[in-house]
Amino acid sequence: MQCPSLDDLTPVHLNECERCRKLLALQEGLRAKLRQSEGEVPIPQGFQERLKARLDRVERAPERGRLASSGWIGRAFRSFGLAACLALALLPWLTRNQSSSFRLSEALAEHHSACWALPKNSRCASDWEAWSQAHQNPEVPVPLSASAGLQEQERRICPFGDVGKGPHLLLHDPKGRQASLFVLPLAESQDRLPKRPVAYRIGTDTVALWHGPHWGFALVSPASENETLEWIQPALGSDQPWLYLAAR
Amino acid sequence: MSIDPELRQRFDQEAVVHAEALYRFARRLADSEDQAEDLVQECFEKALRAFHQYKPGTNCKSWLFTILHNCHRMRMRSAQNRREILDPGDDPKFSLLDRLMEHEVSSEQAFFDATPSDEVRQAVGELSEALRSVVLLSDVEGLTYQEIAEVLSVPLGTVRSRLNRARTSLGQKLWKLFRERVPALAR
Repeated sequence: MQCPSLDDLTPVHLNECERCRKLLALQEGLRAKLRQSEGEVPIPQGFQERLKARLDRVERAPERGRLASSGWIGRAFRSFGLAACLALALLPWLTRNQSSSFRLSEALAEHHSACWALPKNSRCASDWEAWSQAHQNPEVPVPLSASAGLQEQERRICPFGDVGKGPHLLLHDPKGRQASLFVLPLAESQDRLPKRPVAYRIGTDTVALWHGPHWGFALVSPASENETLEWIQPALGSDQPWLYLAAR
Repeated sequence: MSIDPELRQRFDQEAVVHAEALYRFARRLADSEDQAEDLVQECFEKALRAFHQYKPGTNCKSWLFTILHNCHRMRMRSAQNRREILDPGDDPKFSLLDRLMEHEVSSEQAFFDATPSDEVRQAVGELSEALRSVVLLSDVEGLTYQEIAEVLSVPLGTVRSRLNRARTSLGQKLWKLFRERVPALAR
């Protein structure tokens, strides 16, 4: 008799097959033994207290700007802020002849948290190895140009400048090529995103930027600019463009 | 960054209650107690910062394991310390049931009763990390295959095949230890 795998056993088959009953009992026995033995791994003394203390430090971290309220510390922070603003304003002029770039794979490797709510037929790019294997040139140079909606932040690059916020989906375009969709709350996009999509050719990839009612999107695709714009057309105006993009 | 006190209270109720389960899993990934604890703390800090995005009603434990595993993977990547997925010494056709029957061990219960917990932990520790993670998340933490696939960022089929390999490998290792300890029973 051909037996199904243990995951696919039916009550009818179990009634008829003694070997499967024994295999199932063995698997259950192994599970119970594992739970028992792993449950005996000791928790270090003070573990919960140290964890709580660390979480309390997160809680007490000041809001932006609150630190610079008064006294000489406040003056120092205000001076620093002024200098930073000045430097930021002069940045395009200072870097006008530079073509700085970082590896996109660094961004993917860094992007790994808060990706639990992904639609079907897409997945988080935290599996950066798989992403790298799927891309012939995973180290795509990403020019840091504010006009293209790209921004450096703590050496982590994505079309929104912060890979830590919002899911990043892997999708397939109509020709089966893998593309990456970055998602960002519109309130955090700092008016960098147009409502109508715009596409830029960057290295071997195209980056298309647009926004829906509440969310901003950047699609990094190996397709041409026109192909990418055509692909995202049905998804415009939606806050869940992946439903349209992945359905193709 | 300021955390809303209500959010923090909900975080304590929904997330921090899983801290010990996460520590036990981390302990099986990290080389030392200190590293495991640090990994768990990093995981909870990230989870707290992102908790406003957490959807109530979804599996918080599975979400935490995802963050923990990704923290670990980032560390492993930076340490250039990846391990092999396969256990090359294992026989994929090994059947613990056949061995028990061949050697007339009365029941699987008798076999497990005669196997001390530290031998089970030793056998689990000898698994490659990929197999160890799957078997711990499934058989100890009770996550579904789909949740494990999301935690480890691997396809569902990979979870099934790794779990199958992990159980086969565990059975083989436990049998080997059993034979060494009880030669009269398992000749």
